[in-house]
Amino acid sequence: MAGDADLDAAANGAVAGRFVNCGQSCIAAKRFFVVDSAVDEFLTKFAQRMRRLRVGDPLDPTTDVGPLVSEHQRDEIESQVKDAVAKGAKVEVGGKRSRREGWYFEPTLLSHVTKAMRVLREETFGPVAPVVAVPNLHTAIAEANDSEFGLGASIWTKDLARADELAREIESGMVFVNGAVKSDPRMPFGGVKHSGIGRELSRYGLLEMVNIKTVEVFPARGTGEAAQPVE
Amino acid sequence: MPSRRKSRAAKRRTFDVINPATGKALASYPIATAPQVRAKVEAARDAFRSWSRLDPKERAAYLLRFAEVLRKHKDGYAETMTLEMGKVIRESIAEVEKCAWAAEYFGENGPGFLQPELVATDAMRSYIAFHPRGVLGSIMPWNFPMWQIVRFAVPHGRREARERVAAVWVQLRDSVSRSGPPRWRLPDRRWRPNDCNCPDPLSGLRR
Repeated sequence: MAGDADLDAAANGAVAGRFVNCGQSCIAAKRFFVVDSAVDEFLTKFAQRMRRLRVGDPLDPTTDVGPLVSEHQRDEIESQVKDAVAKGAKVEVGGKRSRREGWYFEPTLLSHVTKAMRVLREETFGPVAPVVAVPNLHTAIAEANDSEFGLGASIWTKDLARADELAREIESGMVFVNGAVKSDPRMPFGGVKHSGIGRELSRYGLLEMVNIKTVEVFPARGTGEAAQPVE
Repeated sequence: MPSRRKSRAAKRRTFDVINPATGKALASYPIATAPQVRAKVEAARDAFRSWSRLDPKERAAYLLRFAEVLRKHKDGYAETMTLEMGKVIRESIAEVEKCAWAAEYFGENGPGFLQPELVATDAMRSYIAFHPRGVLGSIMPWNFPMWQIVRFAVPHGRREARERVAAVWVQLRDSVSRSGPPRWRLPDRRWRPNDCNCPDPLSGLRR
């Protein structure tokens, strides 16, 4: 998130990116690198929107966030949050199990996050958003790239003239400028580094699983026969 | 005793699907044995022989019909997904709609993607063809129970699925049957690797 990002759009995108499917998505936004000049305002806007999320019965059409899929997943996310707090992270929103029956964990916002914490080193497959303040966009990109994974990334900036250049610098299979990462049947889906091999969806995904077959046909030659013309 | 524990695991033949909003079991499903999986793979190979010979446009017609079936039953599919893995119902409905979109996208564009590319070489006629390869297996996660299957299946073909979302999977199989492709089926059993100490059921079937 650049210093010139539209922070309302970025906060909306952050909520969509982090909390869809209760955070249980490979393309969920999982690490938030925000330039110093914007971080306090971003945290405020993000927190406001998070507090409005309705956690509840997933069959209720007004519910925004349901339970995690299993007790194990809930325990795992809880342990990642506890690790962060023990190492100095601040809980801005949530941070604990919900009192509801079922495997719920409150939507959680963490600030003052460092690389020593599991929430930055491991995948957080649940509703926990760790925010890291960085001095500038260049560092944000470097920190984002400092990972063995590289599936999807979002860059938030008003400087659209730089969008393509910035997208090129990100080490991932998918880059969205001013939008949350999402899959689309028309576009290739996949990552680099340890995020996988190959692509799904689009023509590229289809071709991954076919026999790309070279066929060359030559005329049968009798003695003295001229080659047939090419059709 | 280690050997007794191992044989208990090998003997477990069913698994429960639990509703994460309540912690209560919804249903119990059988786990396929290696011979059962092998039989399904053989059946898939058999179906492949006729399915792969269809013109892509004929296969595409089935995908468009599949999209219609998904849309028609989307509320039921969505509810099953929500019960089995806790996704909020709005998102479950959106997921079924997205699956229908993907089926439509490949139904409309797939035949074009598979058109051969002519290339000039010293041959009389040379081109790059895109031919079916055979049966594809996959192991897909529970987090987008229908999308993970459909986005792989509509361009490619057959698949397996994780047991956590078994009912979604059974319903998907029924919707595929209803769209009518000849013997193009999804298997009706779950395969749980490493669970039964069985030898790899796909060994010997790999190309």
